[in-house]
Amino acid sequence: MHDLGVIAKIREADGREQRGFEVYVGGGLGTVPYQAKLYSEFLPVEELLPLTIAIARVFTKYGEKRNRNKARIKFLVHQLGIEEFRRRVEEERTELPFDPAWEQALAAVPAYEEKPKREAGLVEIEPAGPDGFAAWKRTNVYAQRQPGYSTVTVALPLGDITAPQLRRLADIARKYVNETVRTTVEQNFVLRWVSDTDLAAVYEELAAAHLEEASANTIADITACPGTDTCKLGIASSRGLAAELRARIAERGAEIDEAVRGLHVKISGCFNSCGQHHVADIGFYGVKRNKNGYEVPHFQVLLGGQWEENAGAYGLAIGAVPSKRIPETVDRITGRYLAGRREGEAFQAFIKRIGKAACMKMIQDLMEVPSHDADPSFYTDWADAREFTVGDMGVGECAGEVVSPAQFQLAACERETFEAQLHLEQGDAARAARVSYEAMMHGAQALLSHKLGAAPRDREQVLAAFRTHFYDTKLFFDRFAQGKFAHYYFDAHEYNGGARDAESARQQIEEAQLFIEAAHSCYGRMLEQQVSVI
Amino acid sequence: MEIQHVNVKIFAAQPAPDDLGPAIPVFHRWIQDNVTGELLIDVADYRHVPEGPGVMLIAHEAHYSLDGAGGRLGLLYNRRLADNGTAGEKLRQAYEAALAAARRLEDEPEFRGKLKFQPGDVEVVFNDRCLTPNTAETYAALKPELERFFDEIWGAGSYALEHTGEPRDRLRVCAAVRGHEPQPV
Repeated sequence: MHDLGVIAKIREADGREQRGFEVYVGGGLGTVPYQAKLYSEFLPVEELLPLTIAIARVFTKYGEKRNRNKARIKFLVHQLGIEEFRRRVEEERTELPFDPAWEQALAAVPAYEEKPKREAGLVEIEPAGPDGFAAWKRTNVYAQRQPGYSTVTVALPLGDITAPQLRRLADIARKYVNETVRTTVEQNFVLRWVSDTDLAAVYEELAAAHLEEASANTIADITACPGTDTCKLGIASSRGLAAELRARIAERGAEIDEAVRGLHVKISGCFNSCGQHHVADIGFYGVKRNKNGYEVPHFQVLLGGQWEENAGAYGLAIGAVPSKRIPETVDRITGRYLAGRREGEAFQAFIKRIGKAACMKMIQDLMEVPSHDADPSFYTDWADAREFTVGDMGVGECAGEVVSPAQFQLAACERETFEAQLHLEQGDAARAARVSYEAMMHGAQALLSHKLGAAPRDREQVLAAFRTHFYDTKLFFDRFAQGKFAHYYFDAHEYNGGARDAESARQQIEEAQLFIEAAHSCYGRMLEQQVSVI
Repeated sequence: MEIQHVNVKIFAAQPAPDDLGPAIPVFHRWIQDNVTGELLIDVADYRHVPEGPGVMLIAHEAHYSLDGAGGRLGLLYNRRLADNGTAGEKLRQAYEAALAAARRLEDEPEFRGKLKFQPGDVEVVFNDRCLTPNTAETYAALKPELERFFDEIWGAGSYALEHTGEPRDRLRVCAAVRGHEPQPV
């Protein structure tokens, strides 16, 4: 799932052992996830640095420069295709002059090798250990390939840790593992090279610092981005939801079935994937819906993502559920899995077998929002007493990007075109066409909001306002294509709701993508001209 | 001696409430009603962190929180902005702000009769390692200021001061009126 990913490999060549990597390129999460493409089944280790330089140079030469939202290798690989991308990289590689630093860097690698601090613990009879030790060991400890050593995960609730806890952890690291602590993308700490004879002592010292939670790699070990707590792009409270789910899971403790215990839950506060919701068994990202003029926090539910196998599969959205019904949604989904799975069937395989339509049906009733009068709690977010609003959205903190509200809305439109593709894949051409039309309309609204400070909601009014402010003024016009992309929107509006076959729906999806690209360009021009009134 | 960023935590009497969730709407009301006259910004929920910051009222001048550090619940006033005045004035400002917030919390409907603070049982933390490194020398230099302040509010000889915590911590002093010493949790 990364721009560039490598997996260490050893192969036999000419009777010799050769070290190298399997290389993947062009992956990425974000609004629309892209799976990395296999670049090379085996790359000799000495080629890693020059290849990386060649890839970076190709990206620098051909990658997107103007539209920051497209300035990632994944878009370039997608645009060129992996064969053409590889050809250009190889061409670039042949032009690279040899740099002795490539070999010097390899020579320095052994210096980074971690060594154990303590003797290997070759335990023949497992001691009982202190209270809670056995449960902690089951979830937070796994044996290293080196006999007598284990890796210990220090599970942090929502990735949070206090200063006194950090000092205690530092003490433990000094005492047992040569002062080396690693952070993980699952928002935990890891201690490697813990001697097996020290495990009980490490557990006791962690427990003294309240760091002994036995939840690593379980359904309680939830990853969440900052969400509305601090990120201005956050739509819904990802941390609030994660805390709520954790508390409910903890209450059940040992009652949770082993098949469910091993599932991964990941939560993002918006569709940018800082919480990595695409690679969870059950993923969520924050969205909002309107009900009778009130804004309601929701989470889009994604099922079937795969954390294992280096993010082997991305989950697919099945529908948006009000935030306050997400705990019930998790119960419903896991309950259905336990009741309906075949012997030994993994969650991902189960979701694939029952299909997206059945998944959607499973939670359809939970998507309903009671009126504000009937239950105002739906109109507040987790751990927040205030009525929900996204009025304070602004520049976000995710992945170092600086994203304005208009860019944010345009990114949402991209996601909608992605959803349209999914509908088309499922054979629902009419829905695919409708969603792609809505993507264009929302793109028009984003531009109108930026230019006027607000946008109409009625479809006819959006179209009319867009025509007045962007088409008639030629503000939306492409230098070469002129008003062509605006006509995609006008045509889609005209045919919206009409009969659709797969081919026409596919064309409209492509047109929607072009329209949104044009909207991004138009937005950039407005910034340059400082048309915005905001 | 120059001091800044004074933290004062007023400990709660036992039994203290287990669930700090009701503090979330209370702190939001404080923001909406601007009860402290300061720039109050947001509420952060850290109830999931053992012995952590609990529920925090994030603000510009100083954070307020129902803090569980050290396993003892208390109202923590965490001064963020530098302040003018003498050391005694800064101690008084922080203590009075903490006390006012503690009294206000006790009176909130969510906590009335359930949460009581002990103004005679406090912890002062100097959240500035440059000005006030956590050493015996700093404590010795500060002790007369602390005694002057606590003599004024509690009376000379009626309380005990103790330099607590480990060397890596910030300078931390516990002050308790005799008879209000820390109770077992």
